[in-house]
Amino acid sequence: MSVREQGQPAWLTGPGGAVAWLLQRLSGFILILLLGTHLLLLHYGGDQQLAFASVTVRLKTALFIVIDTALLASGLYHGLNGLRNVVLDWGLSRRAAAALTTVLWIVGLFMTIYGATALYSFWSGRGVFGG
Amino acid sequence: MYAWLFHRVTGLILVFYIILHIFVIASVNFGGGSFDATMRLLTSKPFIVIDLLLVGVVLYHGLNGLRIIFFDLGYGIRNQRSIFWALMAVGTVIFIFAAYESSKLFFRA
Repeated sequence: MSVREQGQPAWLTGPGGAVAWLLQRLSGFILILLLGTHLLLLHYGGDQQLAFASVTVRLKTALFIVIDTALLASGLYHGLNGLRNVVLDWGLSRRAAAALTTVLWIVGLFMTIYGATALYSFWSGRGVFGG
Repeated sequence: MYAWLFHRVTGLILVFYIILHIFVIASVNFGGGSFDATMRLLTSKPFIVIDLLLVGVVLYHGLNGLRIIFFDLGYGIRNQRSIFWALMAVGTVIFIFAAYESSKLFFRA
């Protein structure tokens, strides 16, 4: 039976649905603050050059590493969980839904780690893969 | 209904974009020169226009998302239509500011 047939959205009634629902609102609110700061500072603030030299200076500050890591993780969580909500509304079997959740967690964790390597490259002043 | 549909469409654009954005910024993993070359491409005229469109997508999704949070907390259920349009007005003002900033970059690029 498709989870959709139970009357409420699948993403809400499925396993962990209420927690995912709450975290989606929470991460959304956090993103309004963090993404607002990110856009203002990087594109409408002083640093419009977006060059390695200037980004490296900013990312030497611990606060920016914390902010950017939080932005990375909350952005990926919100985006991939949102994608999950959309796909689950098509009506998937429980098995397919569980597989989707696993795949999205792997993608999210990989992208968080890969994004963190970029932050590390800026912080250390040299590319982790060379250059 | 359309607000809901548009929220989903903009959300899908943004999740695709965040993955792309991480790979693009991670060009720094191949060194500062690689990052700067990538940024030179992405600050060219076509990308300034695309980025402004992206700002519009972010504004819609963020402001409508704020309305959803209010709604779920039990605020503004009766007048959600006017709240929606008030937030869109705020979004339009911010977008005009962004468009002005983008136009300066556009004519410099």
